[in-house]
This record gives sequence, structure tokens and C-alpha cells, in this order.
Amino acid sequence: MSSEPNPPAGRRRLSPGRRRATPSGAGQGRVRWKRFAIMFVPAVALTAGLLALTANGALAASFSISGQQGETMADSLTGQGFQQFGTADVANSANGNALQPVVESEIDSAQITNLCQSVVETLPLGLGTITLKIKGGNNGTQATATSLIIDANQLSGSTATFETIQQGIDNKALKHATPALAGNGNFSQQATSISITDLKEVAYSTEAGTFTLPGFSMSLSTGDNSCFPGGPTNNFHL
Amino acid sequence: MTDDIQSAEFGGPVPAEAGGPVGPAAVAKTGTAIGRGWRRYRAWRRSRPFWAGIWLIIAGAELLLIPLPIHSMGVILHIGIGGISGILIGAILIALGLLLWFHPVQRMFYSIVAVLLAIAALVASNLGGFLLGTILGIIGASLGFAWMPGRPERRRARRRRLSTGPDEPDDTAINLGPSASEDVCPNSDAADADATVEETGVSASDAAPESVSAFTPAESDWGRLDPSWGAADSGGASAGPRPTAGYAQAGPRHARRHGPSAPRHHIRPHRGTVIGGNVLVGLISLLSFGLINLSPTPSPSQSPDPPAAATPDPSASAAASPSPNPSASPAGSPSPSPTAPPGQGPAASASPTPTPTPTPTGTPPPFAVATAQSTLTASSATLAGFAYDGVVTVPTASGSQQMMEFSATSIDLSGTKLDVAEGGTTMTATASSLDFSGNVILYATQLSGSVGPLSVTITPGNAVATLLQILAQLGLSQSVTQAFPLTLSNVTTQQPYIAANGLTATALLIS
Repeated sequence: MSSEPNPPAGRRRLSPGRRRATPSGAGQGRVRWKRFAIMFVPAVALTAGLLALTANGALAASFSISGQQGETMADSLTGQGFQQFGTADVANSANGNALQPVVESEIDSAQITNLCQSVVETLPLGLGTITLKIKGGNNGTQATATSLIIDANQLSGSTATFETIQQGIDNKALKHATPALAGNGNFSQQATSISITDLKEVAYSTEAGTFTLPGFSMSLSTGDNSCFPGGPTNNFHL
Repeated sequence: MTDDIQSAEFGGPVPAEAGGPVGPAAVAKTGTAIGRGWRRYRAWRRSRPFWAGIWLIIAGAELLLIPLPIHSMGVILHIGIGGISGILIGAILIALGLLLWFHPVQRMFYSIVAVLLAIAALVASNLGGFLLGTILGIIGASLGFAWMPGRPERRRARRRRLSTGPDEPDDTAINLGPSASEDVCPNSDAADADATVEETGVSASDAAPESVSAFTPAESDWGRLDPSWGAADSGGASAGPRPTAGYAQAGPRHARRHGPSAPRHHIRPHRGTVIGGNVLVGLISLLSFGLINLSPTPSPSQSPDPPAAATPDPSASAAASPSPNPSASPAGSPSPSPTAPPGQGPAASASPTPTPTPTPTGTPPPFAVATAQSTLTASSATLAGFAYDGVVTVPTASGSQQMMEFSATSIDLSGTKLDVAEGGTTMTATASSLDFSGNVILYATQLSGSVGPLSVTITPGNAVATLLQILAQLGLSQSVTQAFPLTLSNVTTQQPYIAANGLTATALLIS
């Protein structure tokens, strides 16, 4: 710009003052709270709107949680495209971060009634225990999930019905490729559809490509208020 | 001077600087190296949207760590779209936080991108890290958006002075006396410096004064930015935030031309329009994001459908069975027999099931059977339509293996326990009952059980196996056990593979 010669001059002239001025914070800035509201308020409104859509089951969320043990409970789960095999997860557990054997269940699409998921966390510095709980699909509309992948170290159901099941198949022969860590030659099973009632599982990781959660609610409470008693408690650390 | 300004500053509405007033003041007196470092850090911090960056970095880290805990780095089993988006959004938010620190000139852009990502995380990543990441991100982005260089106090002071009337020169860029209270109006130097610009650059601005004035506020804003943002002149022009060397010419030049009162006149409305413009941009981006984001709404509800939609059973039966399903990619669909997928519901045709029909004796399965050591035990087993089909060569991961093939119309097990040992660990599945029905096929390396007092063990090629095979070939075992199901107790099966049209398990527990 035409001002090219100017800055040096200005700077030179300013330099004595600068030394005094710098400590007090030259070139300081401030947050203008009106401007803050200009972005904050619409953003929060939009967030609330998206949450409302989620709670209506109109909007699907994507989930991927790992490293913490969480509980999942559902009155019923029906799914299409099911496969299950044994593998291992690195997980935060009582005996350190070690490889934990897990049963990985993969369901292409699932419909879930009365879903409850919880993570119990013991905070450091004696801050106590907190429980994060998510519920959905409990007001007549089922929650749905696609590409559901659950690595559980404990899984139970009062009744489980499978259609077109193959039990004892090599995990490499499954419909969907399995992770490298699962090795090959391992015992696995697959079915075209599955239906489980009174599902309870303790999972090291949960992932869902899309998850619609009609009647969604999320709560954070102190103490151990997990979905079903006897679940694991995580010790919070990174 | 230092003290004055400090106290004035801390009257301002800066969040979370609680430690500031005490710490620096105390340290400043000591004048230690720590004190100098602290002052330098503080100057650095105040000259950029520091807290905005902090919030964004925390938000990003939170979003990042839920799908990717730091301790499982290196062994990532599955990173699906949820994990990827969480990591991506988290990483970008962290980057934007850092950019707010180190390149604050573009803070509007960074803030808008950050707020959009923070909201997108709600859908894309664990409900925005269980809302926490989204909220932190929105706060950080809004702080970045709201941060402006310069001190609002001065504006207030200016307003106050305006209402009282006098003292104008002190207030504007035309302060010819450099000595006149730098604190209040540090612009004087630059205004002076600008005199040189006046000579060289007037003509340019002369051409279109209005358009220049339209940009003036922005320019003067930039002029007030901390010069340390620019590469070389860190700390330069510090006497006043306003007229930094490179950018400030428009404002002061303008001021000069229009006289003392002009800048105020101009700056006010323009500042308004700039904010308005930013609001507009922000709202448009938010709205467009909203639209973008809302538009996929139908797709999730559709997504469960494809399996259902992929039920062109008629077409599947019309077409040859090898690829009954357009969506199903498994080319190795092992149904050489043209048994159209039985009416097993929509997804039945999607998996490479062997469609266990009464296969000819000794047909090897077209898929690999697990080699892991597995044992299925049951306190009792009831077999209907049971037959021993002979020894087949079964492909496994470690070469082929001789296994016995049994078929049945149903196998009902009770008190079952399946132990699988693999990778040094044992997985156990128990169930009070396992009822296999419809075209049951069982492969095993060994099958044993007791019929009444008689205990039987069948291995490939032993006497019992031979006997059973003869019975089966005569068609006796199937028809007899169909009419009178055979009940075995204390059944043990080694390395079982079982396929069936249906399985019902009760009290299933896998651990």
C-alpha cells in the first residue's frame, strides 16, 4: 500500500512509548457481550431444536464410545443382519489398560424398545461418583440404530431368537469383515435376524452409525444409578 | 500508568481472569523474571481471543476422547463413521482454538466454522460429546466471535465525554500533542505518523470517499488489533491499540479530512453496520447449516428401510439364486442349489447362508469353519429327524479338516454351555435351552452322549459312526427319530458348527 514507508516511521516514533505501554497490555481486546449473544443465542436455540428433533426420533445421532465400560439394557431388541465373534479391546479396567476379551456383536439395523444406557464414573479428587444415563424408545416408538457395533464382555437375554443362524463359523467367513485383531479361525456366529428380550450387556465400546432416539432423555446424576445393578464403575482418567 | 490502566481494565467484563488483579500486581512489584514472563504472557493473552481458544480446545479434546480414549491409541478396533466424525470434529475444533490464538485476524471465520462444527457434533458425535462438547464449543466460538481488539472502556469514556460536550480533540484521532494523556487517547502518535500518508495517499481515497468511509470502521478495527499478530512487529505501535502502522491509515486519514468530530460520527454507524453484517453472516450460516442439517432428517428414518426395501423376493426367485439381493455384495453366496430364499423375512437373502437343505451326503460346506477350540455341552439333547451324513472335508483357516456331518429337523438342547478358547482367553456362553429347528446341520469332530445307561462316542470313522451311517443311508434314523425323537444326556460336542433355520435360546448369558 501507499503507506509502506509509514510504519517504520511510526514504529520508530512509538518505540519509546511501547516499552512503557507493553506491560499494561498493548493491543488488548475485550469480549463484547452483545456480540457474544449474537452468536451464542442462535447457536443454543439451534442446539435445542436439534435436541428436540432427536427426542422426536426425527433426527439420528451417531455414537462412538470406547474405553469406558457402559451398560446397555433394553426390553427388547430386534435386529437384521447379525454377527458375533470374540475379539479383544484395550480398555480401562481395574488392572490397568489391558486387552480385554470381548464379544463383538454387529447388527446392521436394530429396533430397540425401552433402551437405557449408562456409564458410571468415579471422579478423581474424591469428587464422588456420577452416572450418565441415556434413555430412548420408551414411549411407544422404538429407537432404531444402524451399523450397531457393541463390544461386550457380558451379554444376557431372557430369550433370544435367531433366524438362519450359523454357529461356529470362522470369523473370516462372516458377512462383514472382522477387524485384524480378531485374528482368523475364531469361533463366531451370524444370523439373518435376531430378537432378544430383556437384553442386558456390559460393553467396552458402543458404536452406531445412526441412532434415532424417540423419547430421548439424558441425565447426569451423582452416585451409581446405572441401568441395572451390578455393573462396572470406571475410574476417570485419560 | 501501569497501575491506572490495570485497575481500569479489571473493571471490564473479562471472564475468568480472577487471578489477574492479584497476581500480576504483586509480581510486577518484585520485578522478577517470573514477573516479566507473566506480564508478557498476560499481554499475549489479552491481545487475542484467548479464552475462546481455550474453550474450543477443551471442547475439541472432549469430542475427540470419547471415541478415541488416549490409552487405547494404537489399537483402534473399529472406527466407524461415528468415531471418524468425532475425531475429525474434535481435531478441527482444537485447530480452530489454536488458530484463534495464533491467527486472530480471521477470528470471525474461525468462530463461525467452530460454532457450526460444535452444533454438527450434536448429530455426528455422541450427541456432541453428551452435550458438553457442543456447549463448550458454542461458548468458545461465541467468545471468539465477540472478541474485539481495543478496550470498551474508552468507548464508554468517549460516550460520557460526548454527553458532557467538551474535550473533543482529546477524544479523536486528531490529537496533535503526543503528550496529551496517552492513556486516554493513544492514537496521537499514529495520527501524527499519518501525516506522511496524507501526502502520498490522499488521491486514492479522494476518488471515492464514501466507499472508503464504508470500510473505515473495519480498517480502524484492524488498526486497533495487536500488531504482534503481524509477523515482524510484535509489540509495535503499542502506544495505542488503534492505529497500527499497516492498517490504520484509513481511519486517521479520514479523521483528518473531516475534522475532529468526523471520526466519531463515522465510526459509530459503521461499527453498527459491521456488527450487523457479521450478524447477518452468522445468521445466514447458522440458518443454512440448519437447513443442511435438517434436510438429512428423512434419511435416517429411511435408512432402516433399505433392508426392508431390499426384499425383491420375487425378482430374487426369478433371477438365478447366486445373487438374489442387489444390495448384498457377498459374491460367495453359497447356494448352488436353486432353493429360493425361504420366506424367512426380509433380510434372509442378504447373508451367505448355506440354506441348509437336505444336502447330499458328505457335501463340504462352502465356507470356513472355526478352528478355535470350542466345546458345546448340554445336559440333554433331543434329536428329531436325525441322521449321520458321513465325513466331510471342511475348509478351515488352517487347511481343511475331516469332520462329521449330522442333519436333523430339530435339535433341542437344554442346560447348554459353550466354551470357546481363543487368543489365550475363554469365552463362555450358557443358556438354559437352545432349540435349533429347521434344516439343522451339525459339523463336529467328536460327539458323545448317553442313551439311557449306554454312553456313545462318535468320531469320524469309528464303529458307531459307521453303524449310524448305514442306518442313515437306509433312511431309518431319520424316520425313526422323526417319529420318536432320540434323547441323549450329557452331550459333548467338540468343535461344533451348527446351522439352522431358527434358534431360540432362553436365559442366554455370554461372558
